[in-house]
Amino acid sequence: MRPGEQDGAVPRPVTASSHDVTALLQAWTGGDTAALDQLMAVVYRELRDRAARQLRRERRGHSLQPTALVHEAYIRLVDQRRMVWQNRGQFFGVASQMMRRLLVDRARAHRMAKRSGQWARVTLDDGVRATPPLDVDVLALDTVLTRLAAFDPRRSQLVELRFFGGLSLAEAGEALGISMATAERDWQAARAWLLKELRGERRHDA
Amino acid sequence: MTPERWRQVTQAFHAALAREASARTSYLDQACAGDRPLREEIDAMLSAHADGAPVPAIPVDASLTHTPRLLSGTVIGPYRVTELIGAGGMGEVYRARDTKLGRDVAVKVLPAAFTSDADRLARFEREARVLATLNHPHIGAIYGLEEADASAGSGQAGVRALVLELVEGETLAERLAVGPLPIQEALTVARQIADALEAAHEKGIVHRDLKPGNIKITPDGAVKVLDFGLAKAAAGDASGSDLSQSPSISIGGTREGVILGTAAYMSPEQARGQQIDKRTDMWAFGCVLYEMLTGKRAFDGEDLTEVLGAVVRLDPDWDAVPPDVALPVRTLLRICLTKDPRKRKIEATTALFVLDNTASLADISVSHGATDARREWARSSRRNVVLSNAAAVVVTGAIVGAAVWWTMRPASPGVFRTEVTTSGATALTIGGVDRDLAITPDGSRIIYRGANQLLVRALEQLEPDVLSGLGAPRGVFVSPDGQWVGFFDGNSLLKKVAMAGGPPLTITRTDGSSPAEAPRGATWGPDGTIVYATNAPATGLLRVSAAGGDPTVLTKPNRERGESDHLWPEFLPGGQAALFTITAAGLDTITAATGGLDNAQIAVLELETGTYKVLVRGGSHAHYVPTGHLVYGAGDKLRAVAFDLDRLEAVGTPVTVLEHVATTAQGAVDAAIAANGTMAYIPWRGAQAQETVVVWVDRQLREEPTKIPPGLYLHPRLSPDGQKVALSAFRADGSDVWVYDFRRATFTRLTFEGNNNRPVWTPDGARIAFSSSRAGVTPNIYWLPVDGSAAAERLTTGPFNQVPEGWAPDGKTLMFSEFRPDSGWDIWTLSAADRKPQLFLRTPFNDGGRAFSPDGRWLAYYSDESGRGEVQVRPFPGPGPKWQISTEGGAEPVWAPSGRELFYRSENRLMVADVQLVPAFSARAPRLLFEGEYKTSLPANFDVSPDGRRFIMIKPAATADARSRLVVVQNWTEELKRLVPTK
Repeated sequence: MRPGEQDGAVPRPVTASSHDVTALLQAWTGGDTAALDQLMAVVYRELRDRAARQLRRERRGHSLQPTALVHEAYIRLVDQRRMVWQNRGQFFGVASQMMRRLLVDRARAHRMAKRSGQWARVTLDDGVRATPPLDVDVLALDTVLTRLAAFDPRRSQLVELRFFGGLSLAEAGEALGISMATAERDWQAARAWLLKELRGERRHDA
Repeated sequence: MTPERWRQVTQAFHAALAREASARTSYLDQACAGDRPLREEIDAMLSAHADGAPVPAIPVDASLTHTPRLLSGTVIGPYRVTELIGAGGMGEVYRARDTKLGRDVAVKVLPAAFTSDADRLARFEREARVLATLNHPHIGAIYGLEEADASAGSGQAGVRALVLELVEGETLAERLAVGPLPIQEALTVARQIADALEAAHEKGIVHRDLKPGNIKITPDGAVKVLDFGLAKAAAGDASGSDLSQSPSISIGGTREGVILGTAAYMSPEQARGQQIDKRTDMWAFGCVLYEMLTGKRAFDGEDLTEVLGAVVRLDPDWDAVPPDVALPVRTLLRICLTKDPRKRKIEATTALFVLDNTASLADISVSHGATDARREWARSSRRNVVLSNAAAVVVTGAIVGAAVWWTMRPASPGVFRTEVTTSGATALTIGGVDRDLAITPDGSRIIYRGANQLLVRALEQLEPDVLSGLGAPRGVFVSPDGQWVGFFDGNSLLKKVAMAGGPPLTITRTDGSSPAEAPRGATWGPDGTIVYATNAPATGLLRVSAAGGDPTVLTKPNRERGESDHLWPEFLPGGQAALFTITAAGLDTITAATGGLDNAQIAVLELETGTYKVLVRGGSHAHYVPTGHLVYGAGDKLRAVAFDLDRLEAVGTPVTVLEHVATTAQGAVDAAIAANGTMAYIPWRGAQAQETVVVWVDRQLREEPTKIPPGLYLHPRLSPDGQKVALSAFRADGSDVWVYDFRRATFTRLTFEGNNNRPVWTPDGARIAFSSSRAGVTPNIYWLPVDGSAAAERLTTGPFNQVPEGWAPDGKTLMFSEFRPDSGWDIWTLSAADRKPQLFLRTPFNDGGRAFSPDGRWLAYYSDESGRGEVQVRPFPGPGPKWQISTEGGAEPVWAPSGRELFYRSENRLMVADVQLVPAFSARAPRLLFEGEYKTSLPANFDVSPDGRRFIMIKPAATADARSRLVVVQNWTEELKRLVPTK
């Protein structure tokens, strides 16, 4: 341990905090759509750094909890005192999209490096407590989710928010501006369809 | 798969799921008859669904079942049915004779599926009772709800029927089938509809299904709006977007016809299944007015998809509006038919005002519009008057402004609002977890939390009294006699202190020693006991004597029912029962995402029996108000619902009664209501609270204010002579470019259409290039002369985000960045002469903030190549080596006009590096100029004066002030009674 460094203290990276994510969210809401692209870059970097740190800490387990990362990123990046309610949903929309991209990027990189598929599989907590979490191949999920987005972007976004953003159904519905009843129906159909497609993917793999 | 096919799949999937497993096969046999792939798809989905985790069950769609028809002569209560007059999504409608009052009524029989669901029926009955309070000459009345006598002919027990005012005459739909209405007649009808909407909205009732089919014109010309609120009463949820539930009558219409007829008047938010409110009615009102004037639907199509597509995407054909329709009415139409409900800033009252005063408003608009008004309107009115857009906006603003002023005039005398600003040593401190203020029952004193002290502010005094020596007080509450203040000291001590001051007394240690445990509200009952809550998972509510002692556990959260914790207790009068909040298991993170406890429930506990029941879903921290209401928090709003204290039941529909109230992420509401009707609360203004001010700061961190009013500003850019600053000024829902002239002290808005931001000056200071989305969603680059001598001109087009970065020193070439999802931010150049864009540089970095050196030969930019964002410089256009300027992270590079310095931000520090541009680039190590709470952004959120001696910076408006205000509303309950009638 270097002098002055406290045990357990995480060094504060300069990158993300030097951008005012709250201001970017405001600017985006105010019609500065370029701010969205910048926001995505900031959020992606933050998630990437946090993921790397988490993996360093837990070298043996190699466990990555995407949804926890997203929530940590939210708490760290967003000044909640200056937050408009509506922006929260927007942030999670962006963050879950970036989490998905991050996982896919890493999975691809590792697949190309012909390493073990440890990075390629993540545990997705789909929010239903009574059942074991889904153990899903990220690339397969990404593929079928992209397919779903082609004909039903809203349901695809809902899944993204749930799986990669760790939002509850109510939160995801709020973020998408749909009622709880609609969110439930959407989720039911999307989930069944994805599981069905993933089975198909697994058959192709075998 | 196509979206159409997918819709087919999901429909059949849901329909199959809704059936018992045994009935699914036969249903699917029928639904997928002859379509094998469809059947296979659904079977596979159902199988995947069964394997996966259980998903919450959804109620069966009631509209799939049919009602028994009533025979002529059937008797329902005092009503004798005479004939069937129509059928709609909510059942059949009959003419009937009221044998008691000797008048004819309409009897609407509810579908069987509806009445067999006790919850749904109860909900409907509650709604109907509220709707029955609507008594207005232009609203079809609801007389009551009747239960048919089982033996009297229907052959079925439990037939329920809604008894309505029978309105003779034709519907507006029938009238419109003939063609448009004469303008004057259309306005007369519209006026009466607006009148009806005003009355209903006043009571918090939204129609939700306004359309020509449920507007009747009686033979004597009076207008009656029918079926107010029934869509919601029938659907029973907030979205009300289920088309099949349209309660309106249609004679001989097919189900599809009914749906289409309803869809054409749906607001975009309704079509999307989003939350709807009275603005939805204003949309529908606009659709109806448009149709009356033009004879055609504002939004139409061959099928449902097309109609809804038009609603969400297309503009109505404005050319179809007859030229003689006066400007104020056109403006009204435009505002009503604004797609974004947030921008649909119109109330029924305003519409009524405009329609009542069309003639005089038209005069205003002519006198203000002068000779150079309204090109936009001229196009639609086919007049050869050339008028500018800017003037049209002014005219529109004047009319709506007048109307808004009219509607905002004080309505309810006796309600007084006072703002209390706390400051200095006695400033309010918001803890952000539990409630930070309380009020004495007589409304004379407000107790609020300060820094390690409590403050008691008597309303007749100017300064608060300080209660100190209390440790770390939080979660304040008051004894029923107003003599004691209860509070928590830190996380584990429950204490009290006399209102008049003195040493605090410890009542108890809260129930555990876990360091994570924290208090979650307390309430002092008339029997001298205190009920409190903590976030300890094992216990819910606890009770302890106010005199001290050990607590007893009153409730424990029931995990099997998905309860996570019990919080925020508040006694009901008499002390026999207490309100509290149940949070849902697994949804703790809801607080982070939505700011409200959407999944929380408000429940009531009967202390004697220890039993509790849920009163309201989707809210937290309820208080009882002696006017007979529950008031509780939902997001940053207060909602109220009538409450029956004897039966401990909520009655009717909750209504939002106050917005922008501070609510903590744990669900506590920073509002307190006294028995005398006075309320105190801590305001939370969301976006408005984020205001910024623009200031000059010199190198010694000496700050000098500018006269630019506080607002939400980003991207300040000084003109080359330093005499003006251009800014992006943001509102909650848009942005514009403004210019402040320091010499003349004028602040001028340059842009009016779409969203506009990121200004960049031309080297001669005559023009500003900026990013604008006026032509669509994606911003392209425009420019305009700063003196307003010409309209904005488009410089680029394209499907990707484009933002201007800067001009080459000769002013002939604009450099701009374009973001492509696949390649990130590329730099392009645009020749001012021929407007040809050229790709200049594919940049490896995907972030904002590029700056060209004054000689145009060097590019400073932000790069995250190293994993940490740093400022780098490279030759422009290159190629050539690059220099890293920042050493410990940096962003927002800005060159000094002299070319001898490069500034950048590193967190809240302003850094400077001395640089040399000729003959070759070189830079010295950066040094700190100053550090301060100035807002950062992308691109640069500051600029440097031409002499390099001072900086224009954006800083948060005195946030301490903004956050230390209290609002006191005397006689608030008068307003509450008006908003939420209890009888």
